[in-house]
Amino acid sequence: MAPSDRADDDGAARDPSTDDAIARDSYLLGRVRRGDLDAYGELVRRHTRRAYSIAYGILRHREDVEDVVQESFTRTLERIDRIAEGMPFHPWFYRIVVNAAISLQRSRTRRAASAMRDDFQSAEPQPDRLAEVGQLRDRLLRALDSLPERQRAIVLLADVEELNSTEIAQIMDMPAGTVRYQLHLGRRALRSLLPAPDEEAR
Amino acid sequence: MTNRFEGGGDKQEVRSALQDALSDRFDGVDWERLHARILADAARPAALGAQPWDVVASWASRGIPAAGALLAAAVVALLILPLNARSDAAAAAALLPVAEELMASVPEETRLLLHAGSDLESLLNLVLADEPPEDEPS
Repeated sequence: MAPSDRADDDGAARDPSTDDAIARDSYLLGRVRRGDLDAYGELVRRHTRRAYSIAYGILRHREDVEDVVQESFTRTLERIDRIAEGMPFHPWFYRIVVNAAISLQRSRTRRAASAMRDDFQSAEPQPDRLAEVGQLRDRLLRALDSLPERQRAIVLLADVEELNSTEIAQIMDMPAGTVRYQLHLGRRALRSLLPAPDEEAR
Repeated sequence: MTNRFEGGGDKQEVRSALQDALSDRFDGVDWERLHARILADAARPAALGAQPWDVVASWASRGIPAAGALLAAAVVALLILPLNARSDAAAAAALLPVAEELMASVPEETRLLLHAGSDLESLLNLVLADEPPEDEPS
């Protein structure tokens, strides 16, 4: 009997790291290797959302993000025989996504940075409080952009995708200790932009 | 004990701020369209690991008469051989008249099954889809 796993309404795997999710992915991979397009469709639906989220954190340009997500799935098909039987699919796949997003980030020509990003500041005047929040958001995202690429990816995987250091180590293909250290550096850089707790309370 | 590199205090504040800042990342995403786009890419026979020969074999499995499948295989072979030398579109274009003549001798109903209403250009695209991308200029 095919392993089952809980999924959201849009087919996304709720937590790809559970034993059930890993088993379901392995089952689907086996079907995909035999040319089963329906199984591939389910694999796509299970992982598109998180792939999109990871790529968006790095690129923050929707068209590029969609290109990266599509390209990542295509590469997955091309390299599907490299996944050993029983090996969890999601760290391997998310590694492809991270590398593809970083690669695209590097190859982007220097267009006006504000025009490239989806989150450039609006010219519309805003109430002061909203303006403050918007400015903080922009500063935070600019600071995120200024982190070294792989450190940025690690911070996103930890603090947006909420993966643990072991999973991130598999995705980034580096020791868990290195992940934790890079995460510490990245968080420290971003933390310095945030208001102190006593300032927030005013 | 918390590993100091996990940064307990920093972790929650940075996490909250980042999740807030990126909370709109899924806004307006048409998941069905994106899924369809990804699956359409995979539906190319080469994407699922099939070789053009497998494609021809699959045509036979759709009930196309054997003679028609053999002729189609000959067309594919004529198109592929020079493509292996990576002369791509120019070589394929040179063979187009030959391929057209061959296809003209394929029974009508077989041609219709093969092309599903499309033209020889589509068959050429199918074969070229199996070619690896050219190296990017440095």
